Amino acid sequence: MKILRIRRGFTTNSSAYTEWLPPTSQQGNAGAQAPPGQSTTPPAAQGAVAPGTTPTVPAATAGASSPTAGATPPGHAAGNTLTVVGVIGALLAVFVTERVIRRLRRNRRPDDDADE
Amino acid sequence: MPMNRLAELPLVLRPESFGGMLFDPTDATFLELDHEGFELMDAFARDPHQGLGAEAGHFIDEVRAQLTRLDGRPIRRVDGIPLDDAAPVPVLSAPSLVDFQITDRCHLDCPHCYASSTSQGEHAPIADILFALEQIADVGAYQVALGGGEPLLHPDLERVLTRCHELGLVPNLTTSGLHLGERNLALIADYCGAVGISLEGVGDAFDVYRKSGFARFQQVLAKLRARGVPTVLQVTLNTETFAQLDAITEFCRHQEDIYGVIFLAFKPVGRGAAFGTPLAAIEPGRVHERLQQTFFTLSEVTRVGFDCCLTPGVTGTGSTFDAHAARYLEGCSALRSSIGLLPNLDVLPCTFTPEHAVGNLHEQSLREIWQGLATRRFRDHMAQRAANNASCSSCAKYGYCLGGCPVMELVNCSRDYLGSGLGIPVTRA
Repeated sequence: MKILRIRRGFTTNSSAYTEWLPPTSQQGNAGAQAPPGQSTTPPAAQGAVAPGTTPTVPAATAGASSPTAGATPPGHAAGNTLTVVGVIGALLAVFVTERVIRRLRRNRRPDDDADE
Repeated sequence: MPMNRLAELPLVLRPESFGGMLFDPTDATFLELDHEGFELMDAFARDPHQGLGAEAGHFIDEVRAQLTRLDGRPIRRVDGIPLDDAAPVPVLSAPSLVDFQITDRCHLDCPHCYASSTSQGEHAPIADILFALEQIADVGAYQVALGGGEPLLHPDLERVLTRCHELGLVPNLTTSGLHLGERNLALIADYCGAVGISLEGVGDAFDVYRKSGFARFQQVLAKLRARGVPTVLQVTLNTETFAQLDAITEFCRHQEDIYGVIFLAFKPVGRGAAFGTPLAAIEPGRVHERLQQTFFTLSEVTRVGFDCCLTPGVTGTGSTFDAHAARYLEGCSALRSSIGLLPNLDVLPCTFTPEHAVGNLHEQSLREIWQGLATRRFRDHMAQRAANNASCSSCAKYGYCLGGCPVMELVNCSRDYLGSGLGIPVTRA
């Protein structure tokens, strides 16, 4: 059981039921975080029906190409970016490590495998 | 800030597709809960003294810490409105906010008035207002933004505010402040959440928009603050006021104890259609940069907000501001989390779209209208408009922008979703 998100503030006009953007210094507060535990799946793979879930651009009408990406729920765009960067970083690290191991093995002298 | 009568109101608990929402009227706190959290709060609302396990007890403690008061306070459980099928855009189970124009009358005759209000404008009959408020409360809305016209001119304002209170609704209002006598001031201080007053410029620049003058504006502001009324400065941005943004920001930065500053996209509606130019005429990168700069300056001293119409201008190119906004902004709220209501009880996506009425409360209930065909068509239009726009359909920020205003071209984004020529300024303000 979780508090997904916290908003505060009276709304005096029609153009959004909540419209206040807390100071960035509050990003560290639990309530200011994007809903925890929610998907960071790339937008195109997500469906959506309600705030707090995942809005997706629907299939375009005739003449328009199919959407290649939908959308993330509020607060998830930044999280997705971080995830993508993390995945790319991890893949890069695996690639570099694999190359280093191959290089070490190529350069290894025959007696490297010998017991002391 | 003195506590007003909002603290007497019960909390409101409402189911949503993601779980549910708990609303504290005292300071307009919205807690979005997951399904388990909602079920637990629902059980707690029915029996606050039931035995709770450690995990549940910890959760209740977390909720308690975010509210002005939980213990000993009634929780009003509302059902929301079940939707027949999956909506093409995110939709709450009921409007959370109703923007209610209770009168068409105003003596200021502002040249940019989107409601085209006049001294001869009609007030909504009090019977109609009370009828509408019943329905608004019945579906589980939380707040009512009273406007007009000048709502303080309505002869039954007191009954409107007290009825909101009886129904558990939080009334906020937007006013010029010209009719802010002691009686109205006391009513507002007692019953309202916040009051918005418009600021389109500083000094002479203000006087272009409002014949009441800047000195009078400052008097109104002082009066509201002296009474401890949470006061919001509403800044409507068009190409002219955008050019005044430095002066406006500087003025706002020195206003102690205001509730916040909200920036609104200018809409070419009503008399305003012939008076101003929307921000769409300005290079989007420049709009984004200035909004970001303004946010960082003002958020050090007060709340800062942006209406949903401005969202494309807030979306940028991966800036801190952009990433931060993505956590809170949700794109156009029309018929997703809010509605507009005219004095004749026409229900609109928002009060800037009178030509898109989706029903009238004299003919259908708000519940029926929220589920109705016209409403669903508007939501479909909102989704399809973005889907048919290559800039939006491939945009990772669609989730917090939803493709901008579905009706008007108000402000462009860094992907040039309005097709004005990416990065090429159309007009410099």
